[in-house]
Amino acid sequence: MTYNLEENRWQVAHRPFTASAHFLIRTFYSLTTSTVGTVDEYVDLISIKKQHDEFRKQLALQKARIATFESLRLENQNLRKALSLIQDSPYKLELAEVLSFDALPDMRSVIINKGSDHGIAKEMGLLSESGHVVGYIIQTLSRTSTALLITDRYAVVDAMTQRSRFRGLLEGRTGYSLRLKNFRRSDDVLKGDLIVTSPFGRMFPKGLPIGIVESAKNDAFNISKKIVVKPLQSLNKLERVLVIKNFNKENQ
Amino acid sequence: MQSQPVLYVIYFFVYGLVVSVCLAIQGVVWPAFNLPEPQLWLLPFAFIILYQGFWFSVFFVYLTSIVITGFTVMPFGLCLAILMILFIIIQFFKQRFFWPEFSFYFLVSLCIGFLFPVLHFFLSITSKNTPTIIRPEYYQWLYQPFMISLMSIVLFYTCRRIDKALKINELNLNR
Repeated sequence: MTYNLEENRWQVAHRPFTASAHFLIRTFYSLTTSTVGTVDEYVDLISIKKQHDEFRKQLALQKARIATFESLRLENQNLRKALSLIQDSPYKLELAEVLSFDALPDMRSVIINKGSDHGIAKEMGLLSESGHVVGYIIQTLSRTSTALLITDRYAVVDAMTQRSRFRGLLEGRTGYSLRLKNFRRSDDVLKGDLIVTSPFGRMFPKGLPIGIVESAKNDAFNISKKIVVKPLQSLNKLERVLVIKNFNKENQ
Repeated sequence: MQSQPVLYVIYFFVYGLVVSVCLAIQGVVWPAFNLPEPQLWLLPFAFIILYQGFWFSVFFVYLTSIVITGFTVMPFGLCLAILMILFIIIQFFKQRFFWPEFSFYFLVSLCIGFLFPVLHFFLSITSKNTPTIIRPEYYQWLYQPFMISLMSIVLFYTCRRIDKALKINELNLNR
């Protein structure tokens, strides 16, 4: 049986209906296609949003991990510095953690986690992990000690200029700087000079770095010098300190 | 049921403990976030002076001074002098304008938050041999009252709870 390809009258008459049907089919087809496309896109969007949220979570997690690694890296670096200082130093150094800072804002002291049980005693010097002078012990209990930081107004350290070897007393100013006293106007102290511990102090061996001269001017009566020193170590963010255990002979 | 004097003693040392906890928190927690610490201990101190009797408060000033010196290198005498002045100022306002609401406590917190660093500055430059403060820390004069008055909301209701737990409001203490 063969299909009659020639159009008969019926078919001719029927053509507008067929055209209408095809038109409708085409319309519905395009509508359906676009709807399906939109739905697909919407479903994709939902899954993309879910993935995006998941990636964001993972990113946040990774960022936190990186921050932890970075913090551990810095801690490791500081501990290595402290360890090499402990190994290279001719003095016995005890590593201690800073537990708390002074409760009053105008005072500068810290409480550390080592006390008389660990051989810590009054007037033992305190160094930062980099080996800079930061303070000294003023009170000990069995497992904790209180240390006065050099920036506290009651702190005094025997110091001298590294370049010209002039000696004076370094006092805290209850802020972020120190004042070097007992200098005559003719004494050779310049801005940028390194201030180190003097050989006559009881708490520190000589030559340990303390700070840099920020300004050196003659006083109002032109008799002595007003010298402001900036500590080498930022004392507001101390985490660990090293206690010099066998320098002060009175404590042994 | 405990007798009143025993309850007084317990209450006295409980608040000594509250002051200690506030001092420990401010010395450990705030520096860990690199923030200047608000003087939280001033809040229980003010609470006792406002809501307890005169002599109880005087003894509490001594206790607070002793407790504080364990957390700071500030000399005991200087600390006691500052707290006594604060005590006199709070008593002065209490005798004249007292109303037993949170708003009064808030105002007193704001006031002592400002007065504490100011008094500390002026007393230390007039009374100590090494007053090497070159300039006052003005930001503290603004930061402390702001933070202390903000924290007073928490401390006020905490102290009220302590009073309720110890049934101290039943004692009907005279002002």
